[in-house]
Amino acid sequence: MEETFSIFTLMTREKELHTAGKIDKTSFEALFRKFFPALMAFSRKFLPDEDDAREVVHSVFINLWERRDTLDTSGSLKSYLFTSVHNRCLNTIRDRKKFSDAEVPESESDIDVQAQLESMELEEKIGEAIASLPEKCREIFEMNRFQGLKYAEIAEKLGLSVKTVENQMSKALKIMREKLAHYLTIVIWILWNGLN
Amino acid sequence: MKNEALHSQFGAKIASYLAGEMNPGERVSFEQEIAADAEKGELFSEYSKIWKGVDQLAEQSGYNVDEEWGILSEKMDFSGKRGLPGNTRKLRAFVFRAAAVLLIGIAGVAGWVVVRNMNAYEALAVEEGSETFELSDGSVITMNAGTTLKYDTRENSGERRVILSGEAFFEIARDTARPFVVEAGSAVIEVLGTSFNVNAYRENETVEVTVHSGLVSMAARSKTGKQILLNPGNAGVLYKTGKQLDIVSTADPNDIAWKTREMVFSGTPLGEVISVVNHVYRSNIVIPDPSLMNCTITVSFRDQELGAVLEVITSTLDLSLSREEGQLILTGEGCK
Repeated sequence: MEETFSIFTLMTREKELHTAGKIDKTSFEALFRKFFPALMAFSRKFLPDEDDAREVVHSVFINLWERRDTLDTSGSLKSYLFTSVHNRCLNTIRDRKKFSDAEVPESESDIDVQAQLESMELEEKIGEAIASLPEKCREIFEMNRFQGLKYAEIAEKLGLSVKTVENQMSKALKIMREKLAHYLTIVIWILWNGLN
Repeated sequence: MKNEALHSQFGAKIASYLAGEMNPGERVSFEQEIAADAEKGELFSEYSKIWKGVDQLAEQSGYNVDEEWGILSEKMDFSGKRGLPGNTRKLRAFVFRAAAVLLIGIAGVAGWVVVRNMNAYEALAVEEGSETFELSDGSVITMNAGTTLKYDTRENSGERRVILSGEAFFEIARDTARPFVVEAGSAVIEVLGTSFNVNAYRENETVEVTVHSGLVSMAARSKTGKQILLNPGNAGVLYKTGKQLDIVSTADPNDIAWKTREMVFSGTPLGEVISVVNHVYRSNIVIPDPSLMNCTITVSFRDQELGAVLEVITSTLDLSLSREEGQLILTGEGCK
């Protein structure tokens, strides 16, 4: 059964998070819980130290809370959060340069916020694809990718042959590629057209 | 890229390559193979993209969102009044220290004792209320009343192992080198970094594990049983008799209400509501009239006193409350 896909779901999904446009403590907490891991991962691309990265993400949320009454919430909150993290990371790097002669790597500072938003969508889709794998297949795939177990360790734990683990891993990727193929094409199409 | 035959032959190779299961020789010949064949190269690049996304997901799943929310909340001022400092207890044991987390004292003051054993294990016990402890690795454990937890004091052992009797909520700091293992009744639960609740009171028929973040592995201690992997929103139930191990997909929204004192009821039968309230407040409320059991109620509570909770329930369903020999008795006309 072909899953129909609309590019509008990309834009509307986060609206569930702030119904009536008002941010209260409940929706604020929901926003934090939903976006914290991805924002942390994004922040650490600029600031490899975990505490530095967390400091930036926290300051963005604290700022969001303080400005909740005046903030224009008609736009995308997700885009707002990633853009704010991006800007604050760059500020932190700039300030550090001012106060120390230490060389700060330049290469990462041109990471595109838009590309990050797209990649977060892809990760969300990947998460859904993993959840939809047949039970055994998902179990093996998660043991390998999330728990970091080697094929031989998985085989021993589950009482299977290494060959079976190998086949299940291949099956998992195959199913995921089928589920994501349509989506990957569209994302690439958006990126392509956005650039022209 | 429609060649399914190519996939089945080559897919396993790509997976092995990406998973780091190939030896250097195999890697070199694999790289030559994809460089020489455009179709294989394209398949490889698609798989790599998915693989990278999975790795990013795995990286993100390492954060304990409950804990992170706690860290941020401490810094913030939500309503002008901040959380009570609480009677935070400092416990300077080798592995545990009391957390600077708000203490939830329910019926009186929570009590704990430390029993030093001759072997490598020490024990913590919470008799009343609930108490939060922080491990030296940053993990936080909240123990419900009537719960004991034994923990290994050897910091250099290959795993972090605890033995639980009762109920506790675990927020485990990620440490891929040292899995965190909970032995609870007949179940054994193993994680790397995640938050989950374990309900394993001795009098229960089951051991129940509900997952709030991350991935949890659960198995029967008798090594014959199968192992299950639980995702957030899933609950694992191990039956003491029959050793049956099930995954339940709809986790109970009130499973850690004993810790948060947040209860959500939506068209919930009164019997079930009272069972949750009794669990959260360690109260002994009874409904002698079975016809009242099926009255439903839709309401949510956030950190209310038992009196306030009962006030809402009794006025909504037009019930009366009386006290008799340590029991609270609900009576009424029944539902229209």
